[in-house]
Amino acid sequence: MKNIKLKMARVQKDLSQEELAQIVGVSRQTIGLIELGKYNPSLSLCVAICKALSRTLNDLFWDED
Amino acid sequence: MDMKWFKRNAVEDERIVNMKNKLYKEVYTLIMVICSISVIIKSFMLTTTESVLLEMLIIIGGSLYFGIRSVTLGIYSDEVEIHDQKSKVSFSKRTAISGLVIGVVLALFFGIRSAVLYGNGNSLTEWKYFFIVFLVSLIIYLPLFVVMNSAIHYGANKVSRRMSQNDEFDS
Repeated sequence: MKNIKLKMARVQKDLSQEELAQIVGVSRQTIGLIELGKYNPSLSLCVAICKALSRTLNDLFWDED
Repeated sequence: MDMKWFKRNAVEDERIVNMKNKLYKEVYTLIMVICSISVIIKSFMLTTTESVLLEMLIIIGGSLYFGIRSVTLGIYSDEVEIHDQKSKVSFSKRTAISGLVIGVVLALFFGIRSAVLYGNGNSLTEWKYFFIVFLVSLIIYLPLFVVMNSAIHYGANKVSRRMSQNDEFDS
C-alpha cells in the first residue's frame, strides 16, 4: 500500500526524494520504494525519516483503517 | 566526545543490506546445487570416492558452519519454538522423519549407482546389485540417520536454548 502521508510530508517540506534520501543517509530508490509501499522499513529508518521531516511516527507510519 | 563516533552513520541503507543478504542466500543455494549435481554426476561416471572429496567438503563444511553458527547465536531453538507453535507435527518428529527420508534416498542412490556401475548391462545382474546394495544400505543408513538426526537435534536445541536465554536482559 502506498504511503501517501510520507510523500505529502516530504512535498510540504519542499524536498525531493533525492534530498530526503541524502539527509537520512539512504539511496533515492529506498525512499521511492517506501513511498510506493514496496519496501518495509525498519523502525530505526522510520525514526530517521520522521526526524528529517519533523514529524512523528504516528503522522507518517500509522495506518488507520 | 566519544558519542560522536557512535552517532556517525547511525542509519545505513538497510534495503541495500537486506537485498545483498538475499543475494548471498541465493548464491549459497546455487553453490550447494552445483556441488550436489557434480557429486551425483561424478558418482555415476567414476568409481573412486576421492573425485567428490572437494564437493563434499564444500557441502558438509557449509552445512556445519551454518549449523554451529545458528546454535551459538541461539536462533536454532527459536526456530524450533516458532515451528512447534504453528505446526501439528513437532520439530523433533520432523527431524526423525527427515532422517528416515535421507536414509531411503541414500540407499536408493547407492543401489542405482551399483547397478549402473557394476551391472555390466545385464538386467538380471543390475537388479541383483541394486537389491543387495539397496537393502544393505537401508539397514545401515536408515537407523543411522534417524538416530543421528534426532541426537544432533536434541543436543543442538539444548545448547541453542541456553545461548538464547543469555539474551534476557529484562529478567
